[in-house]
Amino acid sequence: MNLTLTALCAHLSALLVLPPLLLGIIAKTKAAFGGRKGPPLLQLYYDLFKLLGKGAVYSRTTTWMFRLGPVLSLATALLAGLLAPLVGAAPLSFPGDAVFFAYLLGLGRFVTAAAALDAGSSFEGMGASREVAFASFAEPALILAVAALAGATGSLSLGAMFSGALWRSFGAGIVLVGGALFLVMLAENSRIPVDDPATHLELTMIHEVMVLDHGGPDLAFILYGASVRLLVWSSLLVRLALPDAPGPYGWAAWGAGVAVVGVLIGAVESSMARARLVHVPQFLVVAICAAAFAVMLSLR
Amino acid sequence: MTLLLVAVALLAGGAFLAPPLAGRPRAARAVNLACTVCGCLAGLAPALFVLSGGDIPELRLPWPVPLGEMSLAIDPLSAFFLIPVFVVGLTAGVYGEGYLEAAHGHLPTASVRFFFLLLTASMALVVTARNAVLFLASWEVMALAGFFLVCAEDGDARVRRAGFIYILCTHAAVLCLFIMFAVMGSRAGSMDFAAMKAAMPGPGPSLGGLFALALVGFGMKAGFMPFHFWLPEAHPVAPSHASAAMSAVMLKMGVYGLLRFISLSPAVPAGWGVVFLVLGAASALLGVLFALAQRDLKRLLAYSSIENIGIIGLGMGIGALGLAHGNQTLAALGFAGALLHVLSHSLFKSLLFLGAGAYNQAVGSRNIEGAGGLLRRMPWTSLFAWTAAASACGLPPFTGFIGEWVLFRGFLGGGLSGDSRSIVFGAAVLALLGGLAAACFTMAYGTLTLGEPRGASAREAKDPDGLMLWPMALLATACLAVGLFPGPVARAAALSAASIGGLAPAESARALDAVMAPLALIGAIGAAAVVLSWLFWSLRQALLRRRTVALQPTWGCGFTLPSPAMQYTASSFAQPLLLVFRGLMPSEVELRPPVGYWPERAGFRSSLPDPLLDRCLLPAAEVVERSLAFLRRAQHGHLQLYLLHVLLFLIVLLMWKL
Repeated sequence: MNLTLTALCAHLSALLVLPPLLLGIIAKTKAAFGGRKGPPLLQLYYDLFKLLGKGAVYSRTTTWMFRLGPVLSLATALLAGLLAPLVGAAPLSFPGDAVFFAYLLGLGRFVTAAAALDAGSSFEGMGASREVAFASFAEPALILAVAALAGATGSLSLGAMFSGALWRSFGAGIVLVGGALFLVMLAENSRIPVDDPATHLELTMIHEVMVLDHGGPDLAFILYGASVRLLVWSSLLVRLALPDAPGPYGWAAWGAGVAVVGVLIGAVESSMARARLVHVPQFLVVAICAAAFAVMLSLR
Repeated sequence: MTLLLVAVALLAGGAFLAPPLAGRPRAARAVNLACTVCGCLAGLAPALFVLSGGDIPELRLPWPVPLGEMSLAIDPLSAFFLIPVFVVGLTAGVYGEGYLEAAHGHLPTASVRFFFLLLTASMALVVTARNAVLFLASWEVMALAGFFLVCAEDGDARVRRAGFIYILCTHAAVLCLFIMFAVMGSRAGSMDFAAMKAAMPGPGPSLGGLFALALVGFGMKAGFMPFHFWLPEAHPVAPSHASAAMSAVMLKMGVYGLLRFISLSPAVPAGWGVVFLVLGAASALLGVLFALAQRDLKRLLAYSSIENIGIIGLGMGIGALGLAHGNQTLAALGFAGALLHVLSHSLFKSLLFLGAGAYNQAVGSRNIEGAGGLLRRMPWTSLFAWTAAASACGLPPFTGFIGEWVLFRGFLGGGLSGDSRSIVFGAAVLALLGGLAAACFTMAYGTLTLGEPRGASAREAKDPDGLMLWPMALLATACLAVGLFPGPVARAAALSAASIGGLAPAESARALDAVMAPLALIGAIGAAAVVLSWLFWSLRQALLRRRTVALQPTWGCGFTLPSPAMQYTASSFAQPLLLVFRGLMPSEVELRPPVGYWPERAGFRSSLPDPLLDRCLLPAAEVVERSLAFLRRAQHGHLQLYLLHVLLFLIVLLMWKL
């Protein structure tokens, strides 16, 4: 691992500080599409700050499971962020880390769903049920995308797979993998067309309804963890497309790339409606098929 | 080796002491506990010794049975399987004492004790026997002990039905094994495994035929689809500690048999690998989907065992393909992954069954939809069951992830050429399984332990006493410990994997060491997740210290009178997934829609019968029974006529031979 202290600090600070900004970019894009001014770019920072300063209200039904959900899911998001490359090598990297990355996020989902069920509300149960159901389809798509990249690069480490160096040898595969990963990212981060983060009707929510009973610092942990996950996913997409260059230029290119992903998400959310829930599996099967075709290309 | 004999002797001795002591409950209990604990600990010692690199010479004693010999050996493969035998034997055995006491005489105490100890002892002999006659004898004792444990509550017609299906299957399986060993033995002129190995036929139809016999015989015991159907019948009705031993260990005897067969076979055709991969994928996928559709907790766990056996099958498939292609690393990876999952599954599934037993006794029903809120009422049981559920989902930092990660390495690592490279798609199957298992166990655990109790019995539930809790605590610790410190276990699995299929031990161990090196880091990151969550937890405590923390009812989304019955049920939870996969699992729905302006009664019932057992085999059996009914006329009860039959048969025999 040729990781300098500067690179480590840069990785950590980007991972810890930038995530809420990405959500600000998405919100601004959506506002621009809607012809509105929109919330400030730093809105989520204000929200987090306010939530951390609040007291808490817990449901009488809940147990330690409810309190474990937010903290463990934030911990897994941050550790997944240490496994994923932002610029240069990731702080933690080993052959097979791609699988571990997927399962760490799975652990976060498992405890979040358990915490949702702990409140004993039918709405939260509904959200948990949808979340785990859709995740079952997102996982194979992610693993197939990883398999395609592993076949193309001969490496099982995220850093080597997402190096942006494959355009020449595996161009069509990159397009397919990128498409699949984009769809999976939308599903895993509860964005339109899988889930609507801005909806106000509990019956139609997935992720939002799971955290209905969380408030105060718990909600802050959850919102922050979600933004970290989104940043990590966006970074994977950026690293797939852009060649990696360490140093300030690399960071500038990466920042611009992540901002573009944010704008792209905002554009998707502004231009289409949330899909009906029964169509979500089909949406993810498209991702699975795209990744499977990429695997076939990589086997050629 | 002496220690192993001592262990078997203690277990068998304890078994035979149980019936005479039945009249003196305290003495019987003390003897049973002492024999279980001492026997299992004595048995673990030689297994651990071999797995740490030690060597134990083979033991041969004369045995007056024709062709039989008391030939016992512990190679790394046997040693690896001895670990679950004795760990589960110990924990489930001790738990069983508490369970029997809490059952207040609903269970035949002496016979359950007798057959449970006999089961453990016979399984220890199955994995160490090196003579086919000894192997089959121990196998049969194991199968019969299992039968009597399944039939412990034989007053119930459903229990008798399950026992009947079980004994039919197990004997169909053992018939295949008899034929297989007879063929192999007649070629070798001896029933000794080493002699059989030397005389095995080369690649060709006869080797394929033997493999087919092994696949049916051992696969039936392991529960591979389509030989799985006895499992969801037998596991739910046995006493919970017996279900734990059967599901966590007895199924693995089938896996052991298949691995032993591979190690005896001179060559492994690539087709075997494909068979394992296909059977494994089908078992795993259908197993977890059927598990999702169950409401009976122990039936759900039985289907989940089929899923895990399928995952083990995937590993064996990778291993067999690796052997067929001469890729030592891949072969070792596949077998090591399968073995690691054998160990993981035996740890978490026994814990799940023990937990299920505690829940059943507390709630009085196996239906998860009648329970709820048990985490608050049975905190310890639920904490332990949670570690097992997370392991069953294959999540880090628990034990289930380790084996799956090794399998992913096998699928994704490449190293094969030609068409076999398409095994990478196996990784997608494994990922889908991970997601579905997570859904299944979130559903089961959530419905059972989280939220509000849905019935009066769940409201009154209490943790069981220490004799049942401590074994669960031990298993839960093991689930977490293997996940956090996977190194030694992975090394042991690598050592045993190398002994299958005659891999060069040093070479494959070196190759595997390189592949498995990241496991230490995985364990460390898992520990980091624990530490980090603890930090955030403390941060939250610090933030909330001087602020108001209120306790309120769960928000009803505007509804002011929520009741526990309005919580999401397991059926609703699983519905989105079952809807997607309805083509694979046609469920029977009984719908009475509300009719008219003032509907009186409406109802909805859905059930998912096992397609193979309920839709094919039982109807087929009925047809056979009907068409052979005329033979019943020979069963008339007249002794004179029976004797006449015998005489006629003898005359026919004499005429034929003379």
